[in-house]
Amino acid sequence: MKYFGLPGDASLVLITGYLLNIYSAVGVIIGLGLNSREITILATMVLIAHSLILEGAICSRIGVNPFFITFFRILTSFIAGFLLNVVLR
Amino acid sequence: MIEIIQDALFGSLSTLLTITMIVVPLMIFIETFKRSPFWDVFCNNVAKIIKYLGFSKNSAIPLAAGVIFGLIYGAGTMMDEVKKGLINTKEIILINIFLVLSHAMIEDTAIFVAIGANFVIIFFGRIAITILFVLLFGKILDLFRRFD
Repeated sequence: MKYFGLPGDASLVLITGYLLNIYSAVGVIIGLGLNSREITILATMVLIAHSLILEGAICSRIGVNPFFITFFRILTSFIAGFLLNVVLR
Repeated sequence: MIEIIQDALFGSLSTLLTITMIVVPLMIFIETFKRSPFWDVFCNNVAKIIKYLGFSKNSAIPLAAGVIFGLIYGAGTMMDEVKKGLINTKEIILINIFLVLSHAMIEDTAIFVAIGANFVIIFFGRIAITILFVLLFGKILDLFRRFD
């Protein structure tokens, strides 16, 4: 997690956000008591990739490979978190 | 012990109240907007903008619905157009990449702003990374079609 400028506890937010929905991620963020910069980085990462199981199923209904979309979203959220860690000081 | 329960109860209730006060008016606004005559005007304006990203005019309604209301609504309107054969395969993949990265831009952003995230960064950062990846994948898909 140090590449995203976040404490180790924040991985809990990412896992809940990826597997469940953003409301559960919001609950975990409030419970951890992070500062504004960490919340902004986490919010961007969770907003880009959330509810991966449900939304992967929707994508497969349209006709796009759900595994490609899921992998692409997780990768993009990592890229966004890394970039924001570099940009925000 | 009682203090901890009290603290947890009032803390979570106040957070719930903040989120409710933001999300409920937004939901009412979005539901009204969907049924108002402004929706068609909005779709026409979206069609002019997405021309520069390489989308055709038929993709305007799925994109606008997905970005404002959420992925499920966008996918629903898109399935209609796919069944009619109005959108080709390259555009289906590009719309999907666009919608999967930025959907429900009003509601989801408002929830995170309510708990203390920076609005400008999470809104425009998300749009910027979406446009970047859509342009990138548009170029990649063009490359694959050239070798067919």
